[in-house]
Amino acid sequence: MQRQLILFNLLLLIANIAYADAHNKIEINDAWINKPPPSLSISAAYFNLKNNTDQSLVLQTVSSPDFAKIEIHKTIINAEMSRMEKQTTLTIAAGTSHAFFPGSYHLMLFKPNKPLHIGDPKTIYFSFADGQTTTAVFVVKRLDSNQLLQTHDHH
Amino acid sequence: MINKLSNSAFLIPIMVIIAVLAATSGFYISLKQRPAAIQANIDGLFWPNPKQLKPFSVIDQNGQAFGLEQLQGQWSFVFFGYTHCPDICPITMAIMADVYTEIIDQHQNIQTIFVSVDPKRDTTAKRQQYVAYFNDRFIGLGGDTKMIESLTKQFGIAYYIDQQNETDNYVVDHTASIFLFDPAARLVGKFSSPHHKDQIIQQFTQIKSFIMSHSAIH
Repeated sequence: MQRQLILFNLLLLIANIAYADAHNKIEINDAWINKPPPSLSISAAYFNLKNNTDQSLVLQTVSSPDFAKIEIHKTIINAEMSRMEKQTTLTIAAGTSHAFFPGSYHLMLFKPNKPLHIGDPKTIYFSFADGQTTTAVFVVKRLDSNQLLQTHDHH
Repeated sequence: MINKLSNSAFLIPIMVIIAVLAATSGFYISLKQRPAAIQANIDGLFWPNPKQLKPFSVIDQNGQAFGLEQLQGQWSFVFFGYTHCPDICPITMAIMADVYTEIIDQHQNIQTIFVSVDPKRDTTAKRQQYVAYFNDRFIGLGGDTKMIESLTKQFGIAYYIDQQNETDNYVVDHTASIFLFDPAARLVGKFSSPHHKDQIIQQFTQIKSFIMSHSAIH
């Protein structure tokens, strides 16, 4: 009886791992939106995108019912000049992560349907070239410069 | 003569005096050279011959005229950006707010200034709301292109407005650095990106100490 119970638990564990793998092929973590100053209709979102599949992913479009438009942007600092470049697509190699963090890659969010408040959850949809899609909830918060230091060091 | 001197009872004291004089002058020369050594070790310091600002005329966030005299007597942290910038500007402003909060009690004559390089969109009201979001004591300067250039052209601050984009969503290329002016309105330092709060505070403390020891500034 005890052996059957162990076997059952083992099978349950394997099933759980298989389920988690199937549902986390694309992971989006640490997703947040920097609360913009009042009256501004633009803001930036940051997150970490992990490609757990065995093939490259090409991120094509990002959208949300809460914003009029979302674009993938990258801040480039060259010879002390800051420039923002729109990215039409973004490729994430198999088994790697791509970080969107302040001063680098970010999502540019245009015209929120209503003012953003600290703690607000905002749903954002991601579509990839191979037809896959995923959804993540971003939380509005205020940028913490100490956290920023960790982000720079980490990347 | 040499033979006579070598036999003289004064030779040893004379040599001692010469040795002491040589050592003293060497020490004096090393002291005089020390500022150059300190200068080399301070990241971001503009020295010698820091750029002296000439009169300029812009508008602050309350619609008041702001010029050279408003820089005098203050250590001014100055950043050039635009309010519709979603990434580097709010990051820099947030860091400058944290720097200000941390050092204002110790260094009281400090002011933090945001200069908009986007005259079309950044009205006085917009700048007022923008700077107050980060700290209600921050100053938000702007005006028309001629006014902004009365400041930026003095020390080669470049910016580029994307005229190709005819919508209101255009972007502006601008310097990512924070500039430091001393109480004599001289450009004495620069904090380059990426910015870290503790690093800026350390650099500022070193630059201020250096400038105060080399100028009649308090």
